[in-house]
Amino acid sequence: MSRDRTEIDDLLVRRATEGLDADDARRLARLLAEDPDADAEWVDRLVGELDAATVADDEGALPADLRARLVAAVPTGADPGPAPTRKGRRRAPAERPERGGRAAPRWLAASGWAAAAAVAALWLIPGGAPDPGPLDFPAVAALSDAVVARWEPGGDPTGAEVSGEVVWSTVHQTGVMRLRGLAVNPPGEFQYQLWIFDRERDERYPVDGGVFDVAPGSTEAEVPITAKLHVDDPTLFAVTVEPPGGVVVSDRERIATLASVSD
Amino acid sequence: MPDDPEQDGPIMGGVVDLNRWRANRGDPPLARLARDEPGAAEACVDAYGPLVRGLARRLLPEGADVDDLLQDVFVELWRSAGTFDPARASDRGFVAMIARRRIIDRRRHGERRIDTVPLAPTRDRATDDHERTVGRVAAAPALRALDRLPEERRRWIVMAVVEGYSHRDIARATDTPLGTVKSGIRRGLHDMRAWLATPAASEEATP
Repeated sequence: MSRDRTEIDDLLVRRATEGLDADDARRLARLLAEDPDADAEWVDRLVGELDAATVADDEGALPADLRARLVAAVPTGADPGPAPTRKGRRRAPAERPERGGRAAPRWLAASGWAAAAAVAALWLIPGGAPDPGPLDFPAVAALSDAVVARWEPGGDPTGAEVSGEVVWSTVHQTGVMRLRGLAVNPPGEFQYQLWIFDRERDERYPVDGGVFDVAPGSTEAEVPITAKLHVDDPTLFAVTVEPPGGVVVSDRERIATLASVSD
Repeated sequence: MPDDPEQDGPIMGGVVDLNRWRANRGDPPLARLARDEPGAAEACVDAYGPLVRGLARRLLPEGADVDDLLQDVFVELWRSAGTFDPARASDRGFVAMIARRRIIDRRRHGERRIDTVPLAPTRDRATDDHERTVGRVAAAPALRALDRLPEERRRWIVMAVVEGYSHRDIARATDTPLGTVKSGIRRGLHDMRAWLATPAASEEATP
């Protein structure tokens, strides 16, 4: 076994048993990108089989109220579509009501965005372009062109305690937000909306990244990004507080959180 | 748990025999969930809920919000069900894999929770845990593979996977250098993987 493959396996074992810190996760992503033949999930699968074989089911069925809540949380019965697309319905009403053509954008004075963005951190993961696989956060982060940026409070009280990361792959046009500490929202009153600023576009016209909710009781929300337009070179991710269903153009009055991608 | 014709036969003492499942049975609830079939959510919660809850209770400190975690896991399961490949994993193994990722993530990000993880297991306790687990070998191929390992590596894997101890705690509890524990666990898992890929593994698992 090559030294790098041994290191990959060491990291895979630690990921499955203890978890990895950010540095090691980036190191693993880089090694996997450089070795596309490596099986990135063999330890996870084997440990999963051990778990399945050693966890006793002798506690019996779940309590009725918990069972009902879990069943209600799984949004089956809708048109599934292809697997990657289904991620867009996770937890959040990612499909907003149909809207007409885009109204004239009103992203004025974008310098405010840029100033706020200066506080955020970034990692770039170089390398090739492996198969994206399951598009959860670790899977996207392992893509060779993945860009990861940290969330920082954006000024609105809903994001005062926010932390987490956003990961984006331009090659695969997919990404995932992992948000902790973002306030639970009553969907009938307001929803969160993601905007993606693209270096290749006029900064007054960020790309609509989708509407999402933070469900009651959640300590962490992992939300797939459903960009409505192609994003070539993201520079800033912003989450705003908007009316239910989202808006075509945000007035930027309530910015919950920002994640900046620096050069 | 409601009657489910798919659950007689392949489940033996709470352990799925993957080979019998492949040979004799139809789709597990997970595959039905991938197709968004009516009733699939109920079937999955009934089939896998106790597994996920049991795994969370095993790996998370006492007092952790297991119910909230379960909701995250089942939503994630719905998202990921389309990637389930019965040629590479059992349905329960796949569910446990998804659940473990969430649990590990929660442990790493819940600083106050991680502080309550019991540290420094005694050698006696580690041995007891190992014996209890190996005693449940039943027909699960993964446990058969585990049982073939040298005693020391087997015990370290049980401590790391089943008991949730860090490699550092295992090294401390067994008076073994950390590097030896890490390489032993890695090599042990490698040996298990290699054996599970042999025809012998399938033959031994076939009733």
